[in-house]
Amino acid sequence: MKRMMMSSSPSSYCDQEIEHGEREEDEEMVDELVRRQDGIAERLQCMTFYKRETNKRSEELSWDKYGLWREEQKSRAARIEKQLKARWELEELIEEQLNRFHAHYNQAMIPTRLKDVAEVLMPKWAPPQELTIMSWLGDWRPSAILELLRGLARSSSLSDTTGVDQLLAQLIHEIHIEETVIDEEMAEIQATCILHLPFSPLNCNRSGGAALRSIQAEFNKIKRVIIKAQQLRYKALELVVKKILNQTDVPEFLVAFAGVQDAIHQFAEQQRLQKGVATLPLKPSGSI
Amino acid sequence: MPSPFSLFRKKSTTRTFKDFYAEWFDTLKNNLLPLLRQSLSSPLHTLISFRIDLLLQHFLSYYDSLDLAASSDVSYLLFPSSWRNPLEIPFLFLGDLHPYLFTNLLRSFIDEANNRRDEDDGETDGFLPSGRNQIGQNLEFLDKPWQFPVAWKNPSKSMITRIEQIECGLRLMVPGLVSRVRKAQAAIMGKIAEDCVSCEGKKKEIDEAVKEEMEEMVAVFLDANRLRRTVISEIIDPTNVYQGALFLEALSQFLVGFRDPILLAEFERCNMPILRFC
Repeated sequence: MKRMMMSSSPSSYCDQEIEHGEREEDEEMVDELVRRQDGIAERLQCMTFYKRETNKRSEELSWDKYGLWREEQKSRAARIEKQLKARWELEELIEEQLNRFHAHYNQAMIPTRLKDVAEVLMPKWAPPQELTIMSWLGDWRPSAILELLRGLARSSSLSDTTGVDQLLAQLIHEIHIEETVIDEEMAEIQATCILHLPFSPLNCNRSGGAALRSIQAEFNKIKRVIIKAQQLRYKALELVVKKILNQTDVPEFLVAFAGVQDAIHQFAEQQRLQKGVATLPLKPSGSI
Repeated sequence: MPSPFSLFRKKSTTRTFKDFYAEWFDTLKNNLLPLLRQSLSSPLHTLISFRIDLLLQHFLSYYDSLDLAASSDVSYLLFPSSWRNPLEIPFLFLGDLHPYLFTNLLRSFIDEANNRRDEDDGETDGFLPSGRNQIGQNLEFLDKPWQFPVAWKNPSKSMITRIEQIECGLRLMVPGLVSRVRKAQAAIMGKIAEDCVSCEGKKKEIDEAVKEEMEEMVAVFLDANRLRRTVISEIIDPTNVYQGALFLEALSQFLVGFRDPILLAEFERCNMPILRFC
């Protein structure tokens, strides 16, 4: 609707016979003034040349002004239209970005082979410190995505934060519950793997094929947990983009989202280079 | 920037946790576990108490070392992708075995022994070799005298009460650890968003935002290790010598299994799609 209103406007200003009802408020006032001036001119035909000359000059002045005003309006409308087009492009970019996240979380980062599971849960491309700061089952903690938004809202980086804090508190609470359910499912697998893995003391599936199958069964369970975790991550992001923020703030958030992740990554890489890895004294006490 | 000589200085006084773990694992697999098995299979159970104690101390020293190393870099221990293999990683909870795993192992012994006892009751009193053979099918690698599998039969009431107490304690403590990690991460993210976005995520600001919460991460990790250490000790405490030996042997065997080179090679080679049946 907005698009239609804006795109039809500039050319219509050229026609002097435009109907009253189609004009903006300011234009109506100008027209009214012009009509009044015309009426007065007709009634005072017998006036002196000097007076007629003065009237003519003021008429020219007002037409000049009106012309300038129209020109200015035309150029301003064109600029708005340009910005509007940029906004549609921005909206498309946001939609595209969201689709990319969907594909990343729900397809690319779902393990397909046994050894991929560890890579998804503890990616080697991310320094350990980065994972400590922000990861939950291998990637952004869903509630931390909302925490990032809460921080941005509090630092007034966003234009409209009215009611955002309260809505965020409620959504964070809900996402926490979903995270806990997934955490418990994962904990169940980790706590009972000693009963199911082929080298478990009570498992009799030790031969090659049977051993791999019992590993596969456990990894299947973990894959289901990963799928749920990825879906929850996407859900948190979608909530931010589609439910919580207005159109002006979404780009701001997406830029910060990528920026923060990158800043944490750079920071963690530096830490890894500076601090190295966890170490122990060469001859610790005790029976090591 | 670290001094160009820091690398050499470090090398001379410290070793990485990865190296420590390799050495610890080697001692477990090639020294302490065979010694315990030797005692278990010997008719006189020579030195069995001493060897149980050696193995127990070996486990406890591992957790002490984790604690010690945590102060230098807790992240390397919480996310050990550079020194744990892809078969181990998915089963790690806060950098090591889940504390429930120990009580589950204990329960599985009791359940196994007592389910078998019910099945055997019609034929034997459960202390004859036939009873041993049935359980032995599942524990064939143990190669121990027949009375060991039946060591868990008729566990005393006090032992069951003790196990229930341990489990109850774990149910109270473990969710707390998980929620502390979540809170620490939330706090870091909030601080980074508030302090760093305006200054384009400079290292110094992130450093400050992260520092306090990293201390909490270390505290959570130490508490998780304390829990694991306590559970192992408390399980060994009320058990008799045979039960304790079986428990530690099974736990050791489980850890050794994760690094079985043949199985690991098959695992790495395996292209079987997961979720084949879903």
